[in-house]
Amino acid sequence: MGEDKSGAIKHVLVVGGGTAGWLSACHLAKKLHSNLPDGIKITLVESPEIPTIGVGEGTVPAIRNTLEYLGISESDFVRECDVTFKQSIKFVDWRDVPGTSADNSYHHIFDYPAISDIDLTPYWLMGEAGDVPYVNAVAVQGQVCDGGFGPKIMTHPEYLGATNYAYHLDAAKFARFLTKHATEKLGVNHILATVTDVQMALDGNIAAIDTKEAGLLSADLFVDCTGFAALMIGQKLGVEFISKSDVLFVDHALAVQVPYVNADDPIPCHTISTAKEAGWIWDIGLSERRGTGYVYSSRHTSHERAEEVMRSYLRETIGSAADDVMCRRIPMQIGYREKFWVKNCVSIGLSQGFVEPLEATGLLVFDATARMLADLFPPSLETMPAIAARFNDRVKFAWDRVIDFIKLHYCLSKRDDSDFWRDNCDPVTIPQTLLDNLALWRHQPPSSYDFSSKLEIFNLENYLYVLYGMKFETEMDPIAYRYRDSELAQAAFKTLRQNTEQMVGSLLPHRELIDRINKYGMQRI
Amino acid sequence: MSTNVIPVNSELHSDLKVKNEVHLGFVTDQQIVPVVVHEYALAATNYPVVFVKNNETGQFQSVVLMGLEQGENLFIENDKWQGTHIPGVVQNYPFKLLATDEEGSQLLLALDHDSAFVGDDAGEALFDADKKETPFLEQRKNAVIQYFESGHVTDNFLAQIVELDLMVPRSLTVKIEEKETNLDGLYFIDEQKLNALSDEDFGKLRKRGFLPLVYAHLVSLHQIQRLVRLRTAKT
Repeated sequence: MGEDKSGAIKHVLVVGGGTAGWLSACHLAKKLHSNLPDGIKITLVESPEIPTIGVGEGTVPAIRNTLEYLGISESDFVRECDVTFKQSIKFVDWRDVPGTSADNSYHHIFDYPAISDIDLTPYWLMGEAGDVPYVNAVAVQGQVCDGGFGPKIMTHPEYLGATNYAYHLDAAKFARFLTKHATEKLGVNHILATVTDVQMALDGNIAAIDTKEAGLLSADLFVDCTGFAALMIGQKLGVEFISKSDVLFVDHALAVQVPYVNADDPIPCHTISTAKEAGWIWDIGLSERRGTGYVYSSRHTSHERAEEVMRSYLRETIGSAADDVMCRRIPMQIGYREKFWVKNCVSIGLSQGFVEPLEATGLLVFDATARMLADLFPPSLETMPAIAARFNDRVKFAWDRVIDFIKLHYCLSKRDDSDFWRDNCDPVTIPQTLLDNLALWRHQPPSSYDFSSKLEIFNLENYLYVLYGMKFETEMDPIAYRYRDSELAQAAFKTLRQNTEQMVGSLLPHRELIDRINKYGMQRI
Repeated sequence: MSTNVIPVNSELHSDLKVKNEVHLGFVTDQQIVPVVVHEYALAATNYPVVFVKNNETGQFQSVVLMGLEQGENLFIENDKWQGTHIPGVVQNYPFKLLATDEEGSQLLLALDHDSAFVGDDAGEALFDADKKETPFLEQRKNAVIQYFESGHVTDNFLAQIVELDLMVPRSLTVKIEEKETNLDGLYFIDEQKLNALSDEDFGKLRKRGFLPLVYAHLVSLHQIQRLVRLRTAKT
């Protein structure tokens, strides 16, 4: 421990230089004023030898608040991380067996359902919007995505748009971008060194880490961002990893970077997630290339077959070039630690937990928990146990809700064309909390009362888009007497259709927007 | 604006003539007209000099505000300009500079052939019998080049204002005979922020000769009342 007898926490060592490490360092340094002499000292130690996973390329809109809060210029971020905008995740072939229905896809958009004087969801459920997908009845953004338009125009300042948006980004470039911001603007110390040993103090706290290049590094608080290796929280402190592979089956990813066929090919303004026989394929358009990959359950398919599925998916867009692209196979542990904060060690990132990147939960949870750590930061050693208990409680809650939400995508499927899908719909694999909710929602639409905690990462809107995108059936007849504002609803549906036309007419094609931002930048105001 | 803008060429245009008059046709329905820094002082004695974002690039540009709603120009009446300053972009028309590439490394003097002021019959010749530029063309060319250079200074000025965080969005509400009209998308320099600048930052503005521009803009904002008066007189 530090020499300070008062028990004040003055120095934090973040171990690991991936996106989780740098996000943690940024949040801590920002909140604790590390660029000032009386701020908390933050050091990040990064191994020059261990490569980061660097696959996570999708985000959710919360990242916008984070970047702005950290004082990052959105223009710089777009230019330096090959960024494109993301307004939705389009789920393809999740609902029905492929080829058995006309439109087997839906959008999970980021805009909230339009709140006018009336909640439109029950009226859509009663068929009053006509035969339109839920997302198009209550919001404009699905059609903005289908039209290939970006979320903003050039007169919008940084971080503001006509629609709500997040980003697709190059994870390796993002880590380097954060490195620069953290060290140059926020006062984070950066050490390049490989950890060789973790040294314990007598009281069970971590005293220091030993490194090959920089010797012994001590601190008052250690943040474990060492990825799946979990050097401190797992290997040294022995905190168990709780597997959730009985709920979520995918355990491998096959990541492939794909060039555009033509440099000016349109870029979808949403992530495309296509369900396959033993998992699903992500497809993300960055400005310079596409990032794609197949996440699959090795209990339901072989690695060879998975590669075949991946290449045949790519063949649809890049032809025979799909036979030559390099596939990188990454094993994944699905689940989370029994505890995330033990003694003076906090885990953030893959060392803390991981689920398949279906809803871009990777960066999302890293960011949310890094922010939580910075906000809850213990003023002294005495306060640490109470804060750690709270942190563990909240983070576990967040992970359980994330797992419910991911499982929701699978268990509503009508697919029965492989064991993977049949197993996914087996109630014994579905968490009880989710089963309870679904049972309720069969009889009335979800409401905000079903999402009571401020710390839920996915909320009412997210559930609505997935439930009704998957054509989940809520029985409306018995409660139809409650909804008597048909005229108001009709008027609202009509206004929305008009707004859609207007908005689509004013936006730029996504690639053109990106090109212009790269050329001119965006104004801060 | 017109797309029939062609570089001036002594071979092609040896017989071409341009009327030496101010052409108002293309601004009669323009609520805003761009101005460059060298015009601010004079413009400020006539109109509000304000800032807007270019739709295509999002970059700031300075304009004079000549109407209270889109399509309205209160300063042109009976095809006559009602002010003591006519913006350079109007004076130069139908001449303009064309960039040969994206970076603008090479510039050509060009002429809008759709203009009613361009023809073979009446007006000033561009080239003499030896296909040399006439004094008329030379004078117009210099004016266009000077305007272009002043445009660069304007960009630098606006970049400095943005960098110092002095630019703020302002929504204007004007009341004409009990009817309120909103003007959106305008940006002003914030006087409080200006006054709160550190000596060092304020010194930057002074050293670069930007202070008179800042104050011309601030003073010009009082011309909004003139717009309201002109509008009221018309109704």
